[in-house]
Amino acid sequence: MYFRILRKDLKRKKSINLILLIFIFLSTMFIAGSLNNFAVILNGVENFMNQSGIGDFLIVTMGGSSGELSENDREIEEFLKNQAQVEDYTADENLFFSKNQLKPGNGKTAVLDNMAILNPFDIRQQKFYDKENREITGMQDGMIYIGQRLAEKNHLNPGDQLKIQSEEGYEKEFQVAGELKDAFLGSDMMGTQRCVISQNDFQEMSEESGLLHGRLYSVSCRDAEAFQAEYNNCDFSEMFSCSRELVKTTYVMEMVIAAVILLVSICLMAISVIMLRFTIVFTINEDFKEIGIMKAIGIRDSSIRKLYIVKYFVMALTGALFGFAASIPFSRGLLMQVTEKIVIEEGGGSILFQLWISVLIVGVVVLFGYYSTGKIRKFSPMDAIRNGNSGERFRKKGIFQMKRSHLRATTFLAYNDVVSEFRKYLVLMLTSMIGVWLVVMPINSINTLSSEKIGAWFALTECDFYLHQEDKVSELMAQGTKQGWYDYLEECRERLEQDGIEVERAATEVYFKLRVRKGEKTYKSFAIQGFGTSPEQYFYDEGQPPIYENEIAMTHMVAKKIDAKLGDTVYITSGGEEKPYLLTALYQSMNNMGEGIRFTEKAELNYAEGAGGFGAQITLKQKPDKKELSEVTDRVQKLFPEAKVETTAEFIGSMIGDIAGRLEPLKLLILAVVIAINVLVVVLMQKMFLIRERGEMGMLKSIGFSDGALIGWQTKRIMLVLFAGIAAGTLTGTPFSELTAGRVFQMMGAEKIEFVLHPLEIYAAYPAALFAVTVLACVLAMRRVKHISVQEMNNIE
Amino acid sequence: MREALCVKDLCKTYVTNKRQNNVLKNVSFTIQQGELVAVMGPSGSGKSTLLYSVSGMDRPTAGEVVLSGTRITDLKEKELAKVRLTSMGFIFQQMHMMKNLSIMDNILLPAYQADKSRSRQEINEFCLALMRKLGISDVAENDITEVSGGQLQRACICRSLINKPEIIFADEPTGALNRSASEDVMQELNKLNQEGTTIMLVTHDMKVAAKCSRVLYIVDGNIRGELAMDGPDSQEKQRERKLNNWLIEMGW
Repeated sequence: MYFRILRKDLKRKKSINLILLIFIFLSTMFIAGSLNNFAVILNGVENFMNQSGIGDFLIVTMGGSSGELSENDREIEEFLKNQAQVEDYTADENLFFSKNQLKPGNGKTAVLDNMAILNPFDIRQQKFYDKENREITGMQDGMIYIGQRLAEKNHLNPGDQLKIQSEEGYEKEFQVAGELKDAFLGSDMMGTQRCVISQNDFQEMSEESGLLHGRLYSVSCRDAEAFQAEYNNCDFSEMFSCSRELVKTTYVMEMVIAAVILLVSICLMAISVIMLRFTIVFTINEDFKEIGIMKAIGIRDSSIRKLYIVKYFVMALTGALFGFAASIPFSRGLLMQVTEKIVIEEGGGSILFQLWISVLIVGVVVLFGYYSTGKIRKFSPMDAIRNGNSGERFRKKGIFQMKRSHLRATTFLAYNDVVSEFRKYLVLMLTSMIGVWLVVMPINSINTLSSEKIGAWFALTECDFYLHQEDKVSELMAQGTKQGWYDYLEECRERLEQDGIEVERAATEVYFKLRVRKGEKTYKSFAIQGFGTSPEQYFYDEGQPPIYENEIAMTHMVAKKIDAKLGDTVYITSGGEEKPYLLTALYQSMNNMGEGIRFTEKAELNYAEGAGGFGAQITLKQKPDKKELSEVTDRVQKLFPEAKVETTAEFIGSMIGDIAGRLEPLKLLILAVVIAINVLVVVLMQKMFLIRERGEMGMLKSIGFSDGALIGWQTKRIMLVLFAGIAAGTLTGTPFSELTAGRVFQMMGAEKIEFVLHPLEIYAAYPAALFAVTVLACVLAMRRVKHISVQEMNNIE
Repeated sequence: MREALCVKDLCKTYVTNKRQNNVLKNVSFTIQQGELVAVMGPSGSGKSTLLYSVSGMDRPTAGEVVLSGTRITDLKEKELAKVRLTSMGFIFQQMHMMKNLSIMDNILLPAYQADKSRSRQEINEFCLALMRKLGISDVAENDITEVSGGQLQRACICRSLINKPEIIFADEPTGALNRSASEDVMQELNKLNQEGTTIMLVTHDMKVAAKCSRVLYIVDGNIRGELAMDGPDSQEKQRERKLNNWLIEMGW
């Protein structure tokens, strides 16, 4: 008999049961999918490092030849063998090639920012993966896997041809096998790219090509920090070295996107839980009348509860089953945004996890149903028939009085309903508020990252464009003199002015990797010296700009590493000589993950130790607008065909990757998801109200309210709640961005970021879009009001 | 005397499970302005359906209803809503009201929705006057759950009168009340009628019907007969006896 009653119930209360089913489905999809993403993303980069086998410390050197170690490499090997903190290490041979040595098959000049590394696919240092996350376990001769940025910038696709050639006349042609996922050198912030080829090809090239040789060390440490401190005390010649932790932080862009997805997931879970609770409470209230009748005819409480629990179990099981199935593509769809650069664990494990979550949701729904129907024991049949209300009320429901109001009748009704039964509308308000957060946070981040201010956060001076001539920089570094850089700047100025481009300032910055010490604490930091710049052109958070030869500024991060404070004397080693410097200022920088020491122009350093230069930074006399600047840069590009001409934002983008560009599609995706959720919540809530309030609507119709007036009443109610939710979300959106995205910027090295706000966008356009679409959905959903007849008033509570 | 309501060949048919159920069959009658007409009949005879159909709450299947010179059967839903709002009042057996509003606000609701010519102050004063007249001014600010059934029904009467309608329809207005409350409500309806308001009501209660000026008896969707209740109201017993005899004749 129970099943007969149940079947009848499911058939008769189609609408309300369908709504509950939809919410169980959506909650399962969101919660199972999002929790899975949470688990996968949280350790995503760490897992990628483990899966690839990245060591605790990595060193790249240049020098030596095929089968023969350089003196420097011998010293490093010796150090590694004798170092107490070293558990184990691997060393692999690699080759280097530059932009001029790479010839894409399409005949165009190769685009390559730094020297690239060539390795066989089966080096001991790490494993490589292809774009489909498959480990590369074998390669045919003549094939090459290329780094993702190299592929993107040179428009190389699988099947394309490319050549690597040397000045000695050696040439080797390869066919692109695909893009490479490389844990060590694959992030956007890593300047060096890598390609892998077969062992035979590598052997041949190592012996015959004449390309530069080098070694790649991967060290497993007992105590990575202690090892790093010891290593920093040595003066080995290296191309670069870094800890595994630093490699992880170069995936900050993936972390930004992962953080956005995590936040979306957390918000979706919150919305789901709120909605599920609301729907179950609503459904059970709808059932109270029947519960009362069953009690009245003598059916025992336990039997009544059994009946309803069976009902909720059947519905939860059905909803969760479909929700589980939908959570798999949903979860994968979101994860696709993060898996562009890293390999994320997939397969049976995560599906099982989602299945467990789905089972848990069934349990929660049944438990909730059990808990809620438990209340019926306390009620008499009459109380239950009155939907759980005893009829007693100790507080007036309506707070405002119509007779004192100047509002229209429908507006007053809407306002009074919301204030009197605020909890009923809290779900929609919270959903809208969280939705706005989700939209505002990526927008603020994108606007901040694409603003002109970004130069200051990367500790760069303002200029109109960057003129980057890689070959010239390499030549100047090899020359190793300060005067060489000045001559180069003068040369640039002259060439530009000959072409009628008036230059106000030509400046450049040269960077080094230097050891800094205070007392016992040492750190090997990125250091920079500007030529043609003045100290006040840079931003400092604390202290006074360094002016004299023996004064420096450093980032908060380096100061913390060596425990230095303003006014302290620190020691920096350059060219084997340790000199004292006075710390006069602290600044923040997102360059090199927050590392930085800034020398004055007067300081004398060993320029042969320079690790690179930012190229000429040109400021024009004419103060051009965007259009004029674009015309000038086009002319400069023609004048310097071998150079890369970029604006500040483009220059930073080429250093750290196009975060704003990658967030842009995510922003639209989130906006679409938020609008869809809001619309769904509103439509389903309205459907519930149409069921619940059909009596009142019938009564209002009977006293002469038209369909339009009823739609107006219901829509105004939703508008009020939406407005409150969206306004609260908009007002708290920026602090929320600072709390969330601000943390990610902190990870990149910026102590405090002031978000660049586009008020029209975040305070008007997006909230208005969310509001308008949701209200429109509400009006469309309310058209069902036409089908409510006056007789429905007999269903009034 | 002007016709307040004229009904011609009114039919109402419901189709349930492919079976046609003719609830009203060619019903015709007229109510003059200032009349108080009761509709009586056994359960399922079509009394309430007749009331809902002639008042425009429900659409008849066929026939014509003219209310104060307007053929309401031809009106669109929006126009019909306006007629319900401004030209008629409706009193139900159950006292349906908006749960989040006080008694007074419930009464004011249709007036605020309808009247653009009267100021809010005028409406409020008229409402208070109505409430005083029906003896519920002391519960004006109360919640709808804080008053008795009789007070609530009187509030419903106030609400039906707030827009000064030409006719009031009442479906078993005393059906949910005890004897004393029923008498109070009927007394108020009589007073309103004496002041010129036309009233058509459906009732089971002979005592209520005996207070009306005319009684229509409906059986199986047809008006079987009608009785004019002449004589002064003071001769209550005589009127009841007369009605009783007539109803027995009709097969009550």
